[in-house]
Amino acid sequence: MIDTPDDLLLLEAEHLARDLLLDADNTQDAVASLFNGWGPVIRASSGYYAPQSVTPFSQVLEVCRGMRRDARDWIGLGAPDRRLTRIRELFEDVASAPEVARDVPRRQNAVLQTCYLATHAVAGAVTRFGAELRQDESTRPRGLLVAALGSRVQSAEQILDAQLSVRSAIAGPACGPAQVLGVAIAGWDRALHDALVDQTPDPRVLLVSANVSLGLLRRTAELASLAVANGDADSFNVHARLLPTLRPVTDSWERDRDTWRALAPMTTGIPHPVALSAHALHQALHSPELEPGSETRHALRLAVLATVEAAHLQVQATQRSDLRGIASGVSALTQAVFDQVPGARSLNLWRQLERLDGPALISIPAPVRTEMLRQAASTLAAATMAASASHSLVGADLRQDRQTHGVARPESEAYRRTRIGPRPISPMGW
Amino acid sequence: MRVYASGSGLVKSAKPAIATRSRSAALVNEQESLGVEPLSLVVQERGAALARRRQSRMQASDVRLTSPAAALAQQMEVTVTVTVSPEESLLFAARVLQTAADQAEADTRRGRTSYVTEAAVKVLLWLCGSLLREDRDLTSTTRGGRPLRVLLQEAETELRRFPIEDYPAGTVDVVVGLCDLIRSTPGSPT
Repeated sequence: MIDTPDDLLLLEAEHLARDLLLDADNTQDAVASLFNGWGPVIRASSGYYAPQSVTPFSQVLEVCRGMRRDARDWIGLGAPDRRLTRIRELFEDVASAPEVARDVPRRQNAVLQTCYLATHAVAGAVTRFGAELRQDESTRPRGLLVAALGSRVQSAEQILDAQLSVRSAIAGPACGPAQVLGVAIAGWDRALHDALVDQTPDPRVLLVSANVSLGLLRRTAELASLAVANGDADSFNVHARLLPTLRPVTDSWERDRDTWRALAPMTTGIPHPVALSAHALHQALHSPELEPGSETRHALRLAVLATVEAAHLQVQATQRSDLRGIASGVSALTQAVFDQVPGARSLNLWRQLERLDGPALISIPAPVRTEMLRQAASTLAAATMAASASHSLVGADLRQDRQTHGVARPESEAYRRTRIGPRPISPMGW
Repeated sequence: MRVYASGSGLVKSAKPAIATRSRSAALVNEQESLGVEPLSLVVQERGAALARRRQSRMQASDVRLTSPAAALAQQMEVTVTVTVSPEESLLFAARVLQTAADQAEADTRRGRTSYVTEAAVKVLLWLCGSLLREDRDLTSTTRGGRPLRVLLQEAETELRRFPIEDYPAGTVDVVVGLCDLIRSTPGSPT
């Protein structure tokens, strides 16, 4: 209920976010404005939780950081949308209140809900803009890039959706093993972005990233199966929805791992924060105290979403011309790529490069990078599917079907199992 | 009771303070049918109630019922009937959605809207209904025969009555679905 001026300000922010949903333009300028206004809103929202370093917005902040350059290149610059600017001002205003006034679950929930609405509005506008570009053959390639950007904002939306699903994510200190896992995932996400965003990609970091993603996905499958066995999770959702999507993405990450293993020198040099956060995440993920309860499943959903962001970073890395690898790996990959081209000359010359193996890395030929990009995009697509399916890890207990008069309900088993899924798998404008 | 002064109006810190909008006769009739209690509230525009905190904080502690501002508020006071709880508000929204679903079905039969739109409205209705307690009657007394978009907007407006976090968990999905549907439904934007 409305008790204080702070509540009124939060309510104004919520209504502005709804107005944004109802009236978000698809033109390039409008989309650029929306996108450029969205990041500051997320930062202000995270600031509301100060002095906490890990907040429900931590992963979304990293998503913003990861796609800043892409947004500039594919959508363009623009002044932040005035409604988003106002929301940011309101959040900054309420964030200036004493901690005791901010540390109220329902107010934190209000911030989270408003951010969710605003993020959905931005994701929808970017996606619609991308769809418009794809209709014209001349702008189709750019439309695909913008669509990828929209998909990334939708990932952020799913993260916020997951945070909204569990009350303990909004309030409460990180004390249990599930919360520790959540903090470790956020820490890993931050370290990975520090190492890869706007940096020359290091195959060693990408190898660790692939390993961590594999660990997260496999552990998710284990714990989800365990939850079903314990009767904590719905068997249909796990066996028919989640697990079938986890298998292909795991296979895809394994192929990526082989690639990065071939390119990564067997030397030290992995950034210390990356190694440290990967270790902390491994400890949290395999903690004997971790039980497949609802809080753990919530953390696992965030883990699956973190692998989507890792897949995005991998795609970005393979797009960079300064990507390098050890000579023997580059040679082997080049040979493997050209072996698939009928009639291509044997590239025995490349094999001689193996003698150059050492700490100095060499450039990767463009056709090989193209193949790597195709593989990384395949992983991203599979990861996105898994992330959508992972909604069933947390969404089942919120919306129980209840009998009501006047509503025609299908009697089928399929409908009884149905839950409204996360936005990305919903057709636009449903 | 404290009164917060702001830009061009006043709002009492009553529950629900935001529910200070005048409602149409149809709405009043609808809510009377729910058996809700009338509240005496200050009528004002919604936007005016949303004050900057700085202004609010400066003025909130100074305003008393005996002040000129409060006297003005008392002069403006009218009696309206509003829903008293988020659950009632959600039920009302569900009833409007039921009417919208009927309208969408009729529109589909006449070829005005596609089946996709009709299905989208019904999915929203089911989602909204699943958030309510068991055995709530969704038969609507809301006036039918209005454009689908208007009905959807009415449901969305109803769900602005309380802060979203006061509604049952999952209501945000209804709001998002409604907004998406309103945006994609042809019709006058008003």
